[in-house]
Amino acid sequence: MGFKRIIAVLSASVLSTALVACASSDAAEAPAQPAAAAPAAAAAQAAQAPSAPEQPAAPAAAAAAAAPVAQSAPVAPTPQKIELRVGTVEQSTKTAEYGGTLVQMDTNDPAYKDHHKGRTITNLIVFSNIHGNLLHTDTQTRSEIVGDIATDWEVSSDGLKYTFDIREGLVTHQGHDFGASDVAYNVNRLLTQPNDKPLPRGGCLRAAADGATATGQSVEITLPSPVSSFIQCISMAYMLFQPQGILETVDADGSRDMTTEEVDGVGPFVMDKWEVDSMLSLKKNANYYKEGKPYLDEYQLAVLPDASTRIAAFRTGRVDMVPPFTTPKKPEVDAMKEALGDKVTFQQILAPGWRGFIANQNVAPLDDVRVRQAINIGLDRYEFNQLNFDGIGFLSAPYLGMFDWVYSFDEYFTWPGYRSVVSGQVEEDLATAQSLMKEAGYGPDNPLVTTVNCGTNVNDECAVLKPQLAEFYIDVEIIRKDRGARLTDANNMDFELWHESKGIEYGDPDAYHSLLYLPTSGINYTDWENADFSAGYDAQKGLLDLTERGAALRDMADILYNDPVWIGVLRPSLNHGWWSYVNGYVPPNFHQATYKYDHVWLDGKN
Amino acid sequence: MGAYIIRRVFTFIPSAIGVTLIIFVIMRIVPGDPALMILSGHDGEGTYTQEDYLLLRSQMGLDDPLPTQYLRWMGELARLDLGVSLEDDRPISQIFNERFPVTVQLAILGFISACAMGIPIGIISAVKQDSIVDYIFRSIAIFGLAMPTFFVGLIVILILSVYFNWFPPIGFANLWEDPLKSIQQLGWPALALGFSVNGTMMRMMRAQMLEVIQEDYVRTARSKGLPERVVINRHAVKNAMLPVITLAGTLLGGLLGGTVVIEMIFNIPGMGRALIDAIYVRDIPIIQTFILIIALIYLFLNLLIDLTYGWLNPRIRLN
Repeated sequence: MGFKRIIAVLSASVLSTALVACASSDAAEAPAQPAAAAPAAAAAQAAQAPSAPEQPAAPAAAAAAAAPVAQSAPVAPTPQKIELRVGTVEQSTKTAEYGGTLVQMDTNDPAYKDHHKGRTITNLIVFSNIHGNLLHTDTQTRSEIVGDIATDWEVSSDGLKYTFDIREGLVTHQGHDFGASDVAYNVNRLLTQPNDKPLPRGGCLRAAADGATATGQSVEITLPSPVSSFIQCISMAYMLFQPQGILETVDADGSRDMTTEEVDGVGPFVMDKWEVDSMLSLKKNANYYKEGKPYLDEYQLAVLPDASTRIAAFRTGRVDMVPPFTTPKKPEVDAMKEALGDKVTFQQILAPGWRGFIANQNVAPLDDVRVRQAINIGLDRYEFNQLNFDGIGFLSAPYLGMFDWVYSFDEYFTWPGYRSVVSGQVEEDLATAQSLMKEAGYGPDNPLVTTVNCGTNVNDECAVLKPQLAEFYIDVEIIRKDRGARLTDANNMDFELWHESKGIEYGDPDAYHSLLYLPTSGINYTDWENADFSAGYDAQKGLLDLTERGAALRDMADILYNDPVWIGVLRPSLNHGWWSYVNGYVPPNFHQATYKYDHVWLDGKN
Repeated sequence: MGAYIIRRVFTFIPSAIGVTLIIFVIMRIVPGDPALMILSGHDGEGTYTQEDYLLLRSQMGLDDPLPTQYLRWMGELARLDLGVSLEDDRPISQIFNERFPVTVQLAILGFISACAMGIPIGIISAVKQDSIVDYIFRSIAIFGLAMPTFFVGLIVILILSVYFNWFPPIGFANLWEDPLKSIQQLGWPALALGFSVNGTMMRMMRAQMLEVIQEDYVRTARSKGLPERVVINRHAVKNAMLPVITLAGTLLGGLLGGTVVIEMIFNIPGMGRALIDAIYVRDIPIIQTFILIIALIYLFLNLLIDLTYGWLNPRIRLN
């Protein structure tokens, strides 16, 4: 072949590559502009908490109880108070239309096909649409717990027996009957973890239940002692039920993961295609037990690991929905809103859990409770919020304010240290922190020297921490490591201060206990244990009366405040967005919630 | 020649074993406990107990002495068993079979676009030495060399989405299954890859051309009265291409292992993506196997080049 021909062929291949890439017939157009949905409704208070008991008289009781903490009158909050923005969007009044494909994106693949093995929110989002929950938080009201594959349930008077009636006539996508024995098998599987393979999201069940038995269409779950959070646990979004037959097959085979073909369930969508690390597609389940649903023909998940690429995909309309955990930052959201106007809706979602700094109480100088209290009280949480979360973060208290029946945000906002989140640095709190440090033997001329172990993420709270600590005589060196190295340090208890962020799995303070505070928790890095706290935990966990339980939990929150190891700062609010042609979707009130799209429909998406 | 091949293949084997040792040791030196990484989940929201952690460590064999772990891995490799991913329990051979063809397609397209850009502009640049055209092309080459691939990729995505409101289709299609969709997905990343590599190729081509066109046989061709086009195409380029072809082989090997970032940006589910994900969660079996495969590809390409040289030049095989 002559040289000219080689050049011609090579040049033509490049040109044709570019031309073909540009000349897509289906891709160049952005979605047609749908009728604009009404703007987001006014923010509403998180509706998850049951009716609040009488409010405690002294909001800063915890601080008052702490002997070393100086007493001071709370400073009145300024109008900069941060509101809960969790709410709902106004829904279209049109009749729902059938058809279409909803494309959502996420940063990673769901990894496991056996949902019980899944650990990620991606896994939760996808498999919520394939499997049924026994109960779940209603996807419209986002407040009350309703039956999904259970039609009814009752609790024995001693709180030791929960009986669930399972829907009649449930059939899986692959045509197998699904009933009480399937549910019982799932519960027992989560309890026993066959072949010692970890089933990570069954932790609350293992902490509460003995076992399950099926009788006819009923399942009975027995508990060794009453657990007030049991309904919250069994109705948590991760608690999805898979057909017994396939679980028996994989468990007999060493609890291997399922194949794509083996994925079967009773949920609104059927597993169709799974291209690992690229996309997966679910097709409508024509035999779904909710009559007339789902409306969509197909649900797709696009796996887009790069943040810029995700924004580009959403902006061009290639993707219809950004799930909350893939949250773009506020400036990015603002830019998209500016570019797309009312064609997109963004809403913030509460991310309950804990975020802040863990103080290693086993090593000097943080073994001195006064030092830990000084840090807790002296931090300016408002500055953290402005610099790291663009002012949309939520206070990370011992139990987040979504549990108003323990302490509400309003109450937390009056506590020394926490009140700065509302009004910025409170001089009295800074003075208290300085005084505590002086009591502990430190001062401007002999500051305490310590370290903080931080990650390399964008929200750099450690950079905010350093100058703040300096104000009350703590000279902190920031040690940055990658996630793997940090986890090893944590496990070896090789740190002084530690930056961490964790979300709770379900809407109950017990989710905090198992996640952080109990000695059995993997994230209780410093093996913190407190006899009064443990006694309080044992006492509250069986209390079915919320007022009584709230009082016990308040005492426990006070202990956590007065013996601060988890020095909470702020949890991020997550930006959750979708094109306005997506109808019927009500965003959840926290990020690890039920994501079932059986009621979602598209109006005018091309 | 036979003895030379045997000798050369025998040096390949210790190199390969050395690579396995280096990879294995590095993976154990890098801080980060795979059991903790897996339990804490990809997004860090996983929950676990100390009991879960200890159980998983023992199941993963992480408590065994390092020589035991290495010999176990070697034993598995000898049985052609690549192991199982720690993150999702899938056989690594299956993951490799899914990912490798994707990366090969991207690398080949990137290579073609690099050649299509680098070789012609290298030739033109040499022929028009020190002209405006030469300066422009050299600037382009230096720009390509200086710009990291990820930056070029991001710029491409930005221009396509913001100015043309276009984004590649979701989901991956192989070239032989759906060529149109595949080109839409691979075309732009291939161009971005090619742009970054073409500078090296252009500079090599230009340097070789400048050397060759000073040679006596080129002067003779000109003195015969041949048109300049024929002199360049028939006499200069062919001779200048030999080192460029050698370089191209190395570049192709580099592209096979160097598509990592581009795969992330353009959502291409290739080996690079799998490797990055595996590094993120310390999925050691995948990391060490994939790095070993990439290293073996390099070793194999080197072996191939050496054997070709030996075949072309008897002095090499005799020495």
